[in-house]
Amino acid sequence: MLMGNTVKAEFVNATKLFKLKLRDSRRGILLALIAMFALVILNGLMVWRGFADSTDTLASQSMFDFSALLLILAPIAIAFIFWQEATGKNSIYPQTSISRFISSQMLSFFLVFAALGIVLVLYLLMSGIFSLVSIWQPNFILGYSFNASFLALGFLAALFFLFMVTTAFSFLAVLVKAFRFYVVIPLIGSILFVLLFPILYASRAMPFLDFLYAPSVLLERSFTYLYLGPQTLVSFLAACLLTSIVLIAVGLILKHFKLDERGADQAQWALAMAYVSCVMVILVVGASSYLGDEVYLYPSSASDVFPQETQTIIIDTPAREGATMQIMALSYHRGSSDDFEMGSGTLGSDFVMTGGSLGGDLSIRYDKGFAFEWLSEDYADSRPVSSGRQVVFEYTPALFDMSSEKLLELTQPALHVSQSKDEFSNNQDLIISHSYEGEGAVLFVPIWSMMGLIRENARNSYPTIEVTVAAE
Amino acid sequence: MNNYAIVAEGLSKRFGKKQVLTDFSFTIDAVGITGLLGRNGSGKTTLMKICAGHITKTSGELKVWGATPLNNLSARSRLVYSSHDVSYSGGLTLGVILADYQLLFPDFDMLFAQKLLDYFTINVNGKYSKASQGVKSLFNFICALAARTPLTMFDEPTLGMDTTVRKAVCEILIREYNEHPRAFVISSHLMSEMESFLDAVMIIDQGNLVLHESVDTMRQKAYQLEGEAEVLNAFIAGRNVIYRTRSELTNLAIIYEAACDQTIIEACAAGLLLKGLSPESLYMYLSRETKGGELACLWETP
Repeated sequence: MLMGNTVKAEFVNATKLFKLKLRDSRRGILLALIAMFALVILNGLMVWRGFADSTDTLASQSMFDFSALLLILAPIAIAFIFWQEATGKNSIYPQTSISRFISSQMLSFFLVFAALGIVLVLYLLMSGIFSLVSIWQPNFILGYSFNASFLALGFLAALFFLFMVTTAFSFLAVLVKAFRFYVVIPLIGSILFVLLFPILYASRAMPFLDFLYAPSVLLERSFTYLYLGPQTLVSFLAACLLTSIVLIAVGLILKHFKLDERGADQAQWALAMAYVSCVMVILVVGASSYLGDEVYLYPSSASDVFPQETQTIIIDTPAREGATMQIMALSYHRGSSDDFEMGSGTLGSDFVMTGGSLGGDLSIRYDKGFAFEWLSEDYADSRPVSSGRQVVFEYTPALFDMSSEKLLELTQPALHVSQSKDEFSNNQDLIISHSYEGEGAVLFVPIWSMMGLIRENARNSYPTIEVTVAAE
Repeated sequence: MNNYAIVAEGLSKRFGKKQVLTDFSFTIDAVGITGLLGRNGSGKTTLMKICAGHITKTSGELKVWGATPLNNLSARSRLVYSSHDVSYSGGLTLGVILADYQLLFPDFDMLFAQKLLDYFTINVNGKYSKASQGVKSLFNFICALAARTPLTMFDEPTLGMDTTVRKAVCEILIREYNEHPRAFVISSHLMSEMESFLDAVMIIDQGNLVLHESVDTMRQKAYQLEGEAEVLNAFIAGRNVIYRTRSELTNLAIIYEAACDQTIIEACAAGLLLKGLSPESLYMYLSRETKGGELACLWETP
């Protein structure tokens, strides 16, 4: 029994109230739907115009990420639902605070589910249209390949995250009303916001806030550990689910024991302030985490397409004193003869190496016998290398950062290393070439930007070229 | 089976520092029509909202159908509280609101509601928010009546209605009560139109329950005496005088106690004019206190 009513009766009542609330929200849902479709069309036209105006050999455009928009809009909508629930006057219809609470949860869950569904539909629509365009126009490339499992997992992750936001916002309303935290909750919200804000900009713009930086980072890291920097999707879903269950359970218990049919007027401003703070916190944290530059937007790494097998070449030791080894490196896009970079370096008679330059970053490390030692990045301090030691060239291809998207995988990069030897001078050339596709219009249609948190960092797997200097 | 729809014992309500209801103890029968009388701000609406489970009480005991109404679905589903300021979500038509009632009140009689709307030629496709105050009041009355809950509470049901509609509403209420007897609680400023069918009356003044009697008892107990001041003073000594005024124009006393035949004979013998009082008149005298004294004083030169 729940306050004299069966749980079933409460649930049935909550379902009826949910139907009413959903009906009342119909106009808002319709407007949001129209607005989102209008944004898609507008965005599509802007992309089209961008391609038309571009003079780059590899033009790149990115469509708007509607899942990112959802991460901003959904918390605002959820806050509004629970603000209305907490500050609304008692209705004429039979209900209890518990059934109202549950019905608001239902509405919020439904709207989140529907919004995610709309985002998915918009994505499929956009992908479908542009796929057809790419068939008709081969130079038009869709940046991200269709990945059904990623879509499903991303949907699940966003759903669980927004469910957690829903339960957190509803719990906030319960706290404010049950304990009359008209001042405390907004104050905590404001402090959270003030603490987190410096993480992004405030300490730079307002130096007097520097002292807040350390606690902000601590807070952000604690939060990150649970929700923003999960190591796996399962841990992320588990954290969201557990938090949601705990918040709903505690919220229901508080609703059961602490009647909150009072203070609707006082709660209006308190809850509004608290929710504004919360939304700001979510935006700040979201901006720095889910939507940040360091987050890859799609779970496919460069390693998926880049040749992974290391290329090993045994270089003969220059037999004659004074002989050198020339390192030649060139980078070009296929089909072009004039658009390439070339750098060179010299592995001298005493195996002194100097660096070369390439479209990308080339680093060189050599085996000292007991450990590898890096040569300095700019190769200014050339170092002797004993013969018979392994020399490893690590090459990081150019990422082609354009519009915050990574074009690397679409360029189909290829690495090749070869060696040539001059019989007379005993000089050697080591040629490292990096070629890539360089013609086309690449369109990224992103989805589930928050999934970038969960995927592996692509930078962990770069191809290497191993060169061993043979023993004399 | 509960004999009482509402049982209150020492019920009080305070909003901040303001005491709105003080120590209310009363019962409302499971079947019958009770009128709630009181001036503006006397606490009628607060009392009804507490009984409807819309707001909390500060102290005391309250049972509606044997249960605390607040946060109690079984109690809430057995009552409807209809006030003149009921608000619905913006833009809803009357037809949609009727459907909502049908969804949430299990005994709601849609056919009856539609017949009543037809009778008053109210268009169900019209929006509630656009309706006049009179139509809103009438629509709320119809909805609450058609809900057929065991306890129906009307707060100022006839507000904004014209005389013709008010009379029709009273007649409908009587007929509905005869067809489906149940507990009704009605607050109104126009008790003269309703006292003919009220079973009991509660009079509230400044947050106090000053009277709760059956209408028949009130009619028997309340009477007015008018006559010369000295004679009147002598006659009313030791009686339950609830109002006394003395001026050049009137010199009267309102007594509230059973007037037996002997009393009537003695009054007539003393040259006093004795008249019975309607519940509404009694209510007027019980709540006639003003800060400024008699009305005539307003035209006196200082």
